[in-house]
Amino acid sequence: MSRLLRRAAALPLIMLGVSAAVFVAIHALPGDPARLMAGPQAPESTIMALRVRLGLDQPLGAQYLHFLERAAHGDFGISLRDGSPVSTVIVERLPYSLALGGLAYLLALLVGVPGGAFAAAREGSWGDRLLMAATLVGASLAGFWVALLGMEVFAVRLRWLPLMGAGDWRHYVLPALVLSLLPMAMILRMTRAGAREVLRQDYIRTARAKGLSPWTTITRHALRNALAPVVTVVALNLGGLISGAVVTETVFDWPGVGRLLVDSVRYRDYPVIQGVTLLSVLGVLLANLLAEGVIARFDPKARGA
Amino acid sequence: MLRFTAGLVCVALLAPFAARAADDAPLTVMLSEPPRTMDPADQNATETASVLEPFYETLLKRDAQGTIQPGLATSWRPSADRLVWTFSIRPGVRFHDGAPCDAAAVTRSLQRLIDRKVALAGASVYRAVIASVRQDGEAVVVILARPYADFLSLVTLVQSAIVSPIAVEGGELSHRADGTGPFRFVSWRAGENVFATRNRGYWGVAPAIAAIDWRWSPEPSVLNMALQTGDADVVIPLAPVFGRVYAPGQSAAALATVKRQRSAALFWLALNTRLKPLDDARVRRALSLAIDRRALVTGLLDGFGAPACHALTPDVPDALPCGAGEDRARIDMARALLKEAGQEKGFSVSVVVQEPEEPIAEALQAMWRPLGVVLSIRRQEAGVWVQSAFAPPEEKAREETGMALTSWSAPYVSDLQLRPLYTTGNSAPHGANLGFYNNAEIDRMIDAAAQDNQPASRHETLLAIQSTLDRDAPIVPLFTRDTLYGVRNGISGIWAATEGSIRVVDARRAQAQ
Amino acid sequence: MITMGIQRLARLLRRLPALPGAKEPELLIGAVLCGVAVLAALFGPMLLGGDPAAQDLFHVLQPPSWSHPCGTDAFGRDILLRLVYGLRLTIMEIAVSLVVAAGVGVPVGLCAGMAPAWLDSAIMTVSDVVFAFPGLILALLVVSLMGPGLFHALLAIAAFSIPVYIRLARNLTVSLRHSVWVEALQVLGASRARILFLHILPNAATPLLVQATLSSGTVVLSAASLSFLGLGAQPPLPEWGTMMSDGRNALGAAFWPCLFPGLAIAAAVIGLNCLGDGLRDRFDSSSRR
Repeated sequence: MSRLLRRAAALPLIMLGVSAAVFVAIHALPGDPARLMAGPQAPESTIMALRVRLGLDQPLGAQYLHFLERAAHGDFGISLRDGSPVSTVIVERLPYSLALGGLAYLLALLVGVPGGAFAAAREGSWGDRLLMAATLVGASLAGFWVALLGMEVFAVRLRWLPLMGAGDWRHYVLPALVLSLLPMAMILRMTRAGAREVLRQDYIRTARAKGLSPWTTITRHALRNALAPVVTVVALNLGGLISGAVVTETVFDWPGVGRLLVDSVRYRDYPVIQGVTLLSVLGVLLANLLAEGVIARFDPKARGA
Repeated sequence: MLRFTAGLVCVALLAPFAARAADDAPLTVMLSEPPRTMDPADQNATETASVLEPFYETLLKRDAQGTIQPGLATSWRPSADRLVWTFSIRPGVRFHDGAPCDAAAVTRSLQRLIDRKVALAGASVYRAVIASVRQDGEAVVVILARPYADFLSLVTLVQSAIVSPIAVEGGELSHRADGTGPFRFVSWRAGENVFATRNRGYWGVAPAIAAIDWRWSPEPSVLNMALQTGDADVVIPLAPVFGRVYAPGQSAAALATVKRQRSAALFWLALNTRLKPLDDARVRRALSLAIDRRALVTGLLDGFGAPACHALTPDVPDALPCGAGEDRARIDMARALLKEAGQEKGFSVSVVVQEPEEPIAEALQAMWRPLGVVLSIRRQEAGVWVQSAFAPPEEKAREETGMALTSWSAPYVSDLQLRPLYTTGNSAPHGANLGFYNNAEIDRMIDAAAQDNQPASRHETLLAIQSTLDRDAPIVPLFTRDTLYGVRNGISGIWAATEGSIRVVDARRAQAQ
Repeated sequence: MITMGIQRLARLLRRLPALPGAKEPELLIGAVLCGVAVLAALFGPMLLGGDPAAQDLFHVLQPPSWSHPCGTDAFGRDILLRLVYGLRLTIMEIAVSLVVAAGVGVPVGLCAGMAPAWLDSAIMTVSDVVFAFPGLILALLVVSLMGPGLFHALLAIAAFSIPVYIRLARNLTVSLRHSVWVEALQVLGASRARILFLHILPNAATPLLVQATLSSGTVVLSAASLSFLGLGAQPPLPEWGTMMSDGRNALGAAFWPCLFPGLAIAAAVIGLNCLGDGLRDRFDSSSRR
């Protein structure tokens, strides 16, 4: 447990490092936001005034300290694009991303865990092979390619699903499916590997020798122990999910944080870029910490390590 | 600030209910990019103009045939020297916020437009042409800095729209439209849509549709799909490649119709006249000669456009047409010119281009290969492109930016097509003369043409300007691209203006069968 | 009724004979796909002939036919020819990003594994920080910083796989370092560097190779994603991701410019993943034996 505490204590430090890195990187980007805001034909005096207003005339170190001070109060600056606070812009979009990402993960778990358990129970069977081949293909496809083909087939040709945008539940189907492909494949494979490992343990062999079917053995005994690596994969893959969300949200015109980021990069709206980047890093770090906590609870071996 | 945002969110949440309460569904219009601002004078983007047009009105307006009609001004008259214009303002008109749109409000709106301290992005022409604006009872008097033959066209453009003084003072205009137009602003959700509802207090004919839902996607294929699924009632621009999908006899033709509007938008390549070897006019001319404009129009536009061989777009009254063979590549002539300039071995040069226009650069890259010219393409996001393309000479020299590819979307007004691109005073970063072309003779002739009220002598001057520009080749004209837009069958009253923006306020749906 | 049908089907399937090469089907599929790819990259351009950049604007978006088996793209270029040239670029992409990622990650990881505890934890903390960046967001940052381009995109991709190699190399080093065998070497007076490079590194080679093969698929997909966002390879390079992202603009009027590069990417990534999985299984079972 002390290891976990140490990790938790390091979190603010890591965030500090990340924020400094992001801050420096973003301020080194080509393109003067004041000029961009003012428009190409604005006189130099207007641009200078804007720079002062945005604090861009101060040295980088001072700007960073100022940023930290305000960030501590939840103020991440003003969006250059529409003038609203960055926190408001992000908070408006966050529910959409969380809903889509959560649904994608739920889908991945609902298919991945039973699928993996089934594959492990029937190791070597045609079903197992089919599932393994499917996960291999699922993890090998480019998300946006699947998205575009899915739109063409299900929205345009078959008219089963809406094309894009957010709305009722039908709007969630395609993007959530596309986004869930990769985590689904990974979870299924991890569950299968974990369950296989556990099935080889002595106590399970005993259980099976007593006449329990492999399916019962797996659901009663093996799955519980096989889930620790699944939790790890879920947590570690959060960064991947966020990356996937950027592309998926862009293709499906989903009003989430991922698309906000792409739009902001296009418009050089760097307070928003900074906010979104820091938020996603914080999310990933917290998820990792949570995963370690969960594993430490479930897996006595990890506690001592 | 925070309270304002909360208000916006509330309105945004209510928007769908407001729409449902009406008898008919909102008209959904899908664009290729989001609006950049709600301030009509602070932008030059076609898509933004489309969104803003229903909210605002100008002193005068053009109808679908291009004829100038009364707008907020009921009548207008020039002084004898055509330097002083008096506009009588329509009585009884109110802004969406309830404030009266009287002569005082119009005067303030126009004064803001020419205010150098405010420095609005879409106002440079107005700043150059208009000296001052003052109120005279129920009329507004505009005094020009110099005679300007096409002045009336200027006050039909959305940049000159009359905006509410309350919104200007509140500093809200950039994200909350407030004008006198037939539709009023409801919400702008940055990632999603702009919602507009019918202005019940509108002075003119009430629109047939209850609301407009503006949406956007940068993906050309998504726009096409949205038109077919009905997610959008209108899409603009539809990429040329999809024109054939809606051809008569195709299944999609039962769903929607593709319309085509000849456009004044000239696609051109600005050459950096201060960077070697482009500082040599022979080299610039050679590059122009090596381009197969007909191939560009056929391959990239599927024929929905016209080759442009000279500075003025082909549909402007005084434009020189493409001569015989001028729209095809003339490689031998190009080689000879390069040899004369000592560049027969070719050279490397770079072009900055915005993402959607990248294919044009890729086609040019292949066309210049036989000359030994290696074109490296810097595909940039819109914001960065503005930085690079409008950079001052020293910065362009440092970054070795040889060319900028873009389009200039001006109405069929010769001065608006020439002055911003070729005069010395408009050299970047102050204007759109991106290649720093500097020719006192051209400056003089452009001024002369703008002030000339005699069609015959003006025509002569404009022809002289075009042939001088052909010789100096500060830019390479490529083509004009027709505006293609798709409209779901059963919807009428939609049209596109020559500068490419869509007009939807007169839209109506056929009665449901 | 349905369940009975499924049960019967399952019974039927179980009675079928085992697949040929069933022992290690993944390794077989992976090796065949990757082998074909390498051969095609080496000899394909010679067999097909022609210029992958040659345009024909009067014959754009021609559907697949005998003369153009995969059709032509929006510039009238032959898609099959470009795919084959693109294969070379793909191999180059994999090589560059692996060399950079492993070249930085492995030495750092080895050093961390041998270093005193405070340095080890410092290195691993920095590595965790980099790892915490969602890959694409890091790539967006790097590419915005250095400008778009294939090489910059590859550096970005390599950057976010460096921590994977650091962790792998470090964990291997730590586990070997405490083995009786390395401790014996230390007692015998072997220097740290000698132990590291002559004894630990060769033992780490196989897991690193497996990791490299598995990451190659990710490299191809990441490069395609960056190209999709317009930040990867620049024209007229026939890079698959760029081809697919260009092709998507015609989707709805012409499917082939998007479909075939997508299939090529899928085949390449499936091949690499199969090979990686197969190698790992073989390595795992041999190490267990």
